[in-house]
Amino acid sequence: MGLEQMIPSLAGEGFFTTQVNKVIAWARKNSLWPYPFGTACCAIEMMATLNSRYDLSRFGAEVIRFSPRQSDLLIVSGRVVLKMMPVLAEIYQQMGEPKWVISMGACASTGGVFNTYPQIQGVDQFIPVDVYIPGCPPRPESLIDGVLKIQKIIDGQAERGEFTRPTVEAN
Amino acid sequence: MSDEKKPEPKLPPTHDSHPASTRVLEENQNDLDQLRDKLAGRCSDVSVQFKQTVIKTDRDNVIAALEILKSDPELKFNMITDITAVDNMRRPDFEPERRFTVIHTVYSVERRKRVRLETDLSEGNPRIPTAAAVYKGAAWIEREIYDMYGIEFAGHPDLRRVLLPDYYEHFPLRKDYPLTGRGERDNFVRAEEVE
Ligand code: SF4
Repeated sequence: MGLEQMIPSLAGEGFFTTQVNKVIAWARKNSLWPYPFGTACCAIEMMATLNSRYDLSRFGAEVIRFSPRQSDLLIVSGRVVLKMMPVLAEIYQQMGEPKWVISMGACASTGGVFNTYPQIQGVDQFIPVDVYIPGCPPRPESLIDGVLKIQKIIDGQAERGEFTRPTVEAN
Repeated sequence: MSDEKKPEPKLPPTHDSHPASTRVLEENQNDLDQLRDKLAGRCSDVSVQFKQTVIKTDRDNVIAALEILKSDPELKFNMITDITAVDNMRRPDFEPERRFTVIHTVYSVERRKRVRLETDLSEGNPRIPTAAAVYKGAAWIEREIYDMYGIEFAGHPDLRRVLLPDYYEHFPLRKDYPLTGRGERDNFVRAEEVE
């Protein structure tokens, strides 16, 4: 029920009414500021996504921030090893709320082919992840799809935790 | 279209018949003799393996041998290409006396020659003097070997880990260390639980 129905004199005057949290969500989802945690080859594909050919700015997420305090979307793209994991966790903690995390590629999500002593077998063990993108590396279209899924989470069309880590059984 | 007869295709000369290769072999022989002569008493064997000159030496003589290789006016091996190590543990002929082999590869920029020095180290005492006093560039390479194999370089100016974090307790390229580690990679605190 909009205000314009309750106050007939407002109808047709260029007004519409909505909820404040919906406006905020609409603004947030269309102006995501990603923090690129690019540690390996997946980061190259993330750069391609940001370039004019795929142009992530069509979805409002082109303002890459290199300070975690200014960003609200963490894109973990690449391998994370022993020495890097505390750095990643600290960057996650430094980001202001609300914040979302994309784990891009096989390595960030599960360790990928690197089942070795320094390689973290999935960053979601130590930081919360909202969207997992499969692929080695994922194509730019996949990353764009991931960002669109984050947008769905932000405006309430999807639940947090709805997009779960791919498992071997699910394949 | 010309009616000229096509020239016979020239086959590449075989390895043995090629005059240049005989020349190379002769040169190699001279090189080996020269090395044996210069390093007399500092090495136990000079040979060619896989077309590379290999000098066998030991812990007490390796630095003296490197010094000769670098400073001798006829040898002039003035650049250290690499130092690396091998863990012989899984070899069929393994003996604890020869657990590790440290390999110094030195190169002469001027003569375009390369030689390899091999030093065996025992399991109980994996120590070797540092080459950093002879070749400055050796210091970082030796840190990497210490990081991966736990081989100690006596007299090294700054023997710390270089790739792995300082708290790491194991030496991952040793053959008795499992590929997937001993749980170090699973040992972090979840970010939201930290205050
Ligand atoms: S998933 Fe593939 S492309 Fe991405 S970081 Fe790992 S190895 Fe590189």
